Formats: sequence, C-alpha cells, structure tokens
Amino acid sequence: MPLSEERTKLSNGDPLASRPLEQEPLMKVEHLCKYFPISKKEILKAVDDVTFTVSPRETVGVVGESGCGKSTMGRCIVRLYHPTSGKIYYKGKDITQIKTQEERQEYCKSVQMIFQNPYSSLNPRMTVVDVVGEGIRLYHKDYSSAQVNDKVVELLEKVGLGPEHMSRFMHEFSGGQRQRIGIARALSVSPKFIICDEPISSLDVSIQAQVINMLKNLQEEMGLTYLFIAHDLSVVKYISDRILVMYLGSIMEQADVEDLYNHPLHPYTQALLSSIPVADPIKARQEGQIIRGEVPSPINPKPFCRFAGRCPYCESRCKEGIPELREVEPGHWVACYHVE
Amino acid sequence: MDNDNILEVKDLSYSFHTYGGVVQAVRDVSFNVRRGEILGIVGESGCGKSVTAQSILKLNPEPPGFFQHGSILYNGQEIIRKTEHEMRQIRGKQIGFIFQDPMTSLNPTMRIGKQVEEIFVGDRSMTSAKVKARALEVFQQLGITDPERRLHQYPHELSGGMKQRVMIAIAIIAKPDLVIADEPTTSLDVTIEAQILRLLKDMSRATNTSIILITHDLGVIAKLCDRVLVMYGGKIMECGTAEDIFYRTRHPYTSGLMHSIARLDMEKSEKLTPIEGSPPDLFSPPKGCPFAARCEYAMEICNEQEPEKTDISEQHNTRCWLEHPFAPRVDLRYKGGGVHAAV
Amino acid sequence: MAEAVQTAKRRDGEIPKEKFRVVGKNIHKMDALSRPSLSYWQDAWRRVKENKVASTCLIVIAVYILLAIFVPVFSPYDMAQQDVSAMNQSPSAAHWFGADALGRDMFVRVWEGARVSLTIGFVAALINAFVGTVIGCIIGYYGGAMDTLMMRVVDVLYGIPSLIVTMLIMIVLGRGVQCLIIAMVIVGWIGACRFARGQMLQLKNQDFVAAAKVLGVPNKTIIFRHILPNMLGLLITNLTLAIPGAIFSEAFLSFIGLGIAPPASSWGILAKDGIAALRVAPEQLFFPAFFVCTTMLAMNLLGDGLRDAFDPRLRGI
Repeated sequence: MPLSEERTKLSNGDPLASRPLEQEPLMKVEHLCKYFPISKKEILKAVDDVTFTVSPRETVGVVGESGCGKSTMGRCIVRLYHPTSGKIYYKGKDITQIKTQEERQEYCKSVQMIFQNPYSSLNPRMTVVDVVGEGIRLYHKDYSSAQVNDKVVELLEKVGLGPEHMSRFMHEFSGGQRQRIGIARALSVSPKFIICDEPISSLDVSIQAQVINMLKNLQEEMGLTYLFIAHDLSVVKYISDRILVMYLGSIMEQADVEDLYNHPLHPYTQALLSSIPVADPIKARQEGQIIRGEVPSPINPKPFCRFAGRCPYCESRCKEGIPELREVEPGHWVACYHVE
Repeated sequence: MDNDNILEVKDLSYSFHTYGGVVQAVRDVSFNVRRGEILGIVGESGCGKSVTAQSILKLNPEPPGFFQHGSILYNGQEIIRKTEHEMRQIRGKQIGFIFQDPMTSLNPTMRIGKQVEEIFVGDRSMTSAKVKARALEVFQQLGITDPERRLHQYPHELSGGMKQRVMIAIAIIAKPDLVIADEPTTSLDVTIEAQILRLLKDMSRATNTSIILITHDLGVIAKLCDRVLVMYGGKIMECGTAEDIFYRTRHPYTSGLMHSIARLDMEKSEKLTPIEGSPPDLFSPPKGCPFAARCEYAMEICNEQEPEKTDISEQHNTRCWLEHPFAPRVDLRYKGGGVHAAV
Repeated sequence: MAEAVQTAKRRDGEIPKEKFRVVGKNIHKMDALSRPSLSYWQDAWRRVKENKVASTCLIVIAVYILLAIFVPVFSPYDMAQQDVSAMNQSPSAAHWFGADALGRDMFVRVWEGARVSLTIGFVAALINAFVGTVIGCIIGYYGGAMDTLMMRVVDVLYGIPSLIVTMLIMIVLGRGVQCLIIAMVIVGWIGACRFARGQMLQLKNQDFVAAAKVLGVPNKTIIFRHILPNMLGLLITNLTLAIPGAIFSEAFLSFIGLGIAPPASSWGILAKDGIAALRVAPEQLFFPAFFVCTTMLAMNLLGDGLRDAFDPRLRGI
C-alpha cells in the first residue's frame, strides 16, 4: 500500500498519524474493546476503545491502577482473550483473524509474554530444563536432546543462571530467580515483541533493579520491543520511551516519557504522579494533591468521562460524553475536556 | 524503662523449628519506640521485620516458633513471659495490629460491624451501645463513607481501600498506645495508598499514638516515618531518623537500596545499580556480617566477624566494619535525583 | 560469636590491619542453592514416612498383599481340599485359622479370597480413576456444550445408588470376576470424573497454563503434560480412598449371592459361609470380616496420610 494511502487510512484517531512514518509500526491496536458479560444486564468493560501503536525496538509503558484494563489488554494481544471488537495488527497482519495452526504458531514465535507472578506462572512439577526447553522443542522438532540442552544453557546464561540449575525444580528458587526463568522461557522461541505484564511487582526491591537492568540489556542485545505494563510509575519511567496512562479501560493520556512526567496534562495523571511517595523525606512530606474517592467499578460504566467522579476540575460538560483522545501537543495525546 | 519509651526491645532473637533445621529469623534485635513517634522498619522479604513485629504481640505460631532470648518491654511489662490469656488483654486493646492483606485478614462470613466490635468482647465496661457509638466515631475519623450502612455489610462488598480502612478501624478502636502496621498499603493502588498514609499520619498526631510501620517501600518510609530501622538477614543494619537514613547513609545495604530503586525524580542519565545476588539462607546464616556476600565494600573481617554497633550520632547508629578506624573512608550517600545535598 | 566480637573490641589493636582490605562481593555464595533437590514425589514420600499412622497402614497393606500372593503357593493345603475329620475345627497348629464346614483350611481360603477381593478392589478402582479422570479432564478443559451435557449425565447417574445399579447389571451379566468388575466400573467412573473436572477448572486458569498457551503448546499437551501432573497427587489419594469402597462392594455383592461364584473364594463368600456356621464356629465369620475391615481402615488412613503428604502448603517452612 503506498505510503500516502496508509497515512490517510490511519488518521482516524490514530496517535501516530501526524508523525512521519519513519518505520512501519510493529504492533497496531485499533479501537480494541474487551467486554465480559457478567449477567443479562451487567457488562464488565475491561478494555474500552483503546488505540495505540508500538514501533520496533521501542518500549511502550502502560500504567494505571487496578481495574484499568492494562493486563486484559496485554492478554488480548497475546491471544489469551479474544477481543470483543477492534483490531490488532502485528507487522500489518490482523491477528484477530488467525485461523490456522501455522499462523498461530508463527505469531507465538514472534510475540511472547512475561507474567507477573513468578510463583504461579511456572509449572511446579517441571524442572528448569523442561520449562525453558519446551519452546525450543516445540518449534525445533528435529533437535536432539543435547542440542536442546545446549540452547537451554545459552538462555540460562543470558538471564544470569547456570547449567547447575537445569535439573532443579521451581520451588527451589527465589522469586527473582523464578522471574529470570520466566524470561528465559519467553526468549526460548526467539520473539521480537514481548509483553511484560508487571514483571517485577512481586519481587523484592533490590531484585527489581536486577531484572529491570536485565530486560534493558536484553532489549539492546536482541533488538526486542517491549510493551511494559506496570503500576509503579517510577519503574515505568526508567524503562519506557513512551507511556500510555489508562483508567477504567480507556487511555487518558499518551506521550513520550519526558513529556508525560514533566508536563502531565490529564488531571488523573497529575494526581497519580503527586500520589507517589518519593524516597526523599523533604520531598515526600510536601503535601501533594490527594484524589478523593475510590476507583469506580468497570461494570456498566457511565457514558461520560470515566474520571469525572474524582476529578478536581470536573465541570458539567464532563458528564455529557466521553472525551476523545486528541493530540494537544506534538506526540502528546489527552482525553479531557478541560485541556484545550 | 525510660518513661518516654512505650516499647523497648533488647537483644531479641526468634527462631523456628523446621524440617530442615532451625531457622534464625530474628537475631539480636534491639530498638525503642517513643510515645507518639512513627518508627519504620524497612527491609526485604526474609529480613525478619514481620517476625519481629509479630513477636511483639506473640502472634507467631508457637510451635514451630520460639523465643531464643531477649526481652520485649511494653510499658514496663515483659511481653515474653506473658501467658496467652494476658496477651489477649493486650492485643487489640493496648497494642493494635494492622495486617497486610485486607482481602484475607477480614472474615468473609462476618459482617463488618461484628468484626470491629469483637475487640470489646469480654470487656464489661463497654455496653453494646457504647461499642457501636465508638465504632461509628472511628469510621468517621477514618473517612469511611456511609458508616451506619458499612456496619451491616460484608467484606466482599467493600473495595480494597475501604477494607484497609476497616482494618485500621479495628486496630485503633480501643485507643491503643501503639499500633503495628505490617505493610498496610502494599496491596493498594497508589492513589488509595496516598489517602491511607495521610490517614495514619493524622491519626498518630491527633491521638499521640505510636506506630511501628513495616514496609519494603522506601518512599513510604520517607513520607511517614520519624525514625527508621533497616533490617537484613534477621539483624538491624542501620538505625536513625529519616533524614539520617536518607541523607547521611552509613550502611552499604541502605546505600545499595537507595541506588537500586527507580525514582520519579531521577535524571534521564541515571542508572539503577542493583544489589547483586539474593538474600541469605536463614538455615545457615553466614559467619560475620549477613550482607558481606553482596557488599562491594566487604573486607576480610566482614566475612569473619559480625560488626558491632557504632554510634554516629545520638539517634543514628550502624553495624558495619567500615566504621572501624582501620577501614577505608567511603561516602555512601545517595547523590542523584536532585536530593537536597545541603543536608 | 558475641564473645569473639567482645574480645576484638577490648583488644582493638589486635585486629590486624590487613583484615580491613576490601575484598568485595562473593559471587560464588550468591545464587547458590544449598538445600538438596527434592522432587515433589520425593518430598511426599518423605512426609509419608514421617507420618507414623500412614506408614503403619502402608506396611499392613503390603503385608496383606504379600500373604495373598505367597500363602496359597506355600500352604500345604489347597483351598478346595476337603478334610472331613477337620470339620468346623477351631484354630489350631494344623489349621491356623481353623477349618470350615467342609474341612477346608480357613487360612489358605482367607488368603485365596484376599487375592480375589484385593484384585477386584484395586482393578475396579484403577479403571474408574483412569476413565473418570480422562473424561473429566477433557470436559473440564474445553467446557462448553459438551461439558454441560456430560455433567447433566453425570448428575443423573450420581443420584442413583451405585450398588443397586451394579446389582442389576450383575443380574443381567451373570456372576464372575470380569462381570463384577465391568458392573462396578459402569457407574464407578463418575466420582473420579467429577473430581478431575473440578481440579481442571481450578488449574486451567493458572498462569503457567496461560504461559504454555502463549508459547503455542497444543491443547492436548497442556492437559496431559502440564495440568495432569499437578493433579496426580490428589488423584492418587482419591484412588487410595476409592479402593475400600470397591472392596466393600465386592464383599457385599458376593455376600448376597450376586458377586463371585463358588468354588472361587473371596472375602465376601467366606463371610457368607461364615454366617451359616456362626453358632458353631464364629471364627469362620470373624477372619474374613476382620480382614475386610482392617484393609478398608488401613486404605482410608493411608489415603488421609497421602492427602497431607501431597499438600504443598504442609511442606513446612
């Protein structure tokens, strides 16, 4: 498709439309919705009209609190959930239309996931070589045991473990080590794009830095692209190039890292940033803005701005409809009536 | 016992019998808590902070746990020698406890009102009406909306933040002098966490209640605590005021933590410096300093002998061989993030 | 340790300056796994051995099985051998368990009977477990219309007393070991099926299953190589607890004349014969009844012990 046509096609609310297409985006999510019907009358709208793109070798961070739908979105992208509506394009192909086993396996080899809980995401009955070798054996049926073992050792060394760990069981490892095994598993099929679903939330503080640095190094070394889902804004700032801020299933704000943290435009982002306690007593004790109220339920959400109930700037027009995600500055998108 | 102190812990050692041997969870821990102050205990999993807190109220399961030695003085009374019956008079009434996960610490089959009022069971002086009035008063104080209705609700009908407020209500309803909060905001969203932290601070200042706050989050410590203990491998590594710990760091572990956490105020060029390795195995604690294996400044002596406590100032002390006159001078303070270098 | 530190302090100049040379991190100590590697099964076995009750029961069962195998081989008597002079004899040096109305040695008959009873009990329970588990796993994993349909079938069958169904089937099929096993299995698989389906519903939502799906592992492999091993401990426990029921069913059916046909012997048949001689020689009822009861008790207690042994939460700190 010629470039000009592509650009026109994309300019319907696509955050990347106004930018010159330097590279073909690796992943494009368009108007993704995932609803879970709870009963005849109640629908849980976990993800509601989400649109964004990810370029090759970039890290897009997704932040939001519980119930914002970031995990559900991640799972839609790896095809653990089937989207209710919307499209997900990987290298131009719509993955929601995958039908054959070959296409499925091709996609699995390209897009992988690192899970949050290192205790439940590794099979307790399997040894390290079983877990890490499974992906290798699946896609290289011709490999001998020795070849598989060699590849496993290679992967373990990449994540800072050794051949002596190969025949050990999962319960013998600490949380940080388990997470590294999980990363080795994700890498075993040589993916290009990895969804990191809160990979460090369950880990100790001093171990988190090890894993973050490892993920960064692996990205450099292997040319990976990340979608980094987390609720810890400090960590997301450190690792990401661009950030999406989600609230109750929709994107509230989207911008480059520096832009978002230095000039947050959406009231939710502002409140989020001021709620984080900084590890510095003088700074931390400056009273920031504390949002009142609780996160509302994503079941049958009202048809106006999701943040209206808790927003300090809420006006009457905020309750009339859902604000569109608009580009208010180059590369900086906000969904808020208050921001002009 | 110094009258200013509400709690004095001396040389506390607590261990557990397990199938693999004896695990020394807490080793020679000593600290005081003053009236009205907020003391933070920070450390990672396995450092012994939760076991320390729970032993103050004897909440650890007694087989397999046991006090190896030490003393815990609460208002002059020795806790370790108290019977279960005596402890029940203290728990909830004189010392409150806020548990970590409100999902699992509230009884899902009991109404909220019943759980809150349970503290007063057996207390003849509190009539049913008085108990209810007190419950409503505390709910109001903690910002629990619609307090009358809440008393009749079940835990699953409440959000995470609301449940945690109920936990705090249960902890403070009998007006205790001391509240122990074990990771009270770890499972909460950051905007709710901010609300709860402010609540705890206001509550402490208003009623002059001491709080022992256990957490792994240095940001929470910075925000809330007057004094801080840093624990590792069952021992206290460093102890001081919040300013001492953050701006005048003297222990390599504390320093390592500061340098390894991602901060909002980090410059673009700053890197995270992780502490390599994993926490020590408590089955066979290493000879010498527990942090030596992971410490980049470790010296020969660190692997052989445990360092003693060195006082740096009246409130600030540390256990590290770097304080010894023969050791090289090292500046461990965190310099990045535009930290107030003036202090 | 405290002493050594004290000494160093008092004789401060005694710590040589070289000790304060920086040596840095000790890489070998980090990431070391000090405890011996124990697989799930090794750990469970260790816990069974520690459990006195369970290990006693295991030994008792093992002894019974050995007796069932070897007594009929080494006994001087054959189970059908009749000796008129020894009719209804009490236990003696010649006949350890006494002799029955036809002068047959009770000892050898009890252990011949044990062969049949134990075999039927184990085999029937095993087939039930196997069939039930496979069906339960498949319908639990895929869910949907098939699941709803099967569960309605299971619910209906579950409501019918299984013993009655078995009896009716025996009337149709006739007597004998194979017929009995078939009859027991036709309704017996349902318990295992419900259980396996319940476990599958729990386990299929675990993250490690999601991870396998994301890797592209085919569904059949996920069910049988990922999920099933995680249920195996509980399945074995259930199997152990199902065996007493099977043994009892056989005993009961043979007792009322619908199970094994004489001249074959089982504990049920022996009990039936024993009732006839109750006034004269009560031990003829006592011995088979005793072994049925103790076997059932031992299997139940062993099952309890296994359940505790397989529970990861009870591993200990």
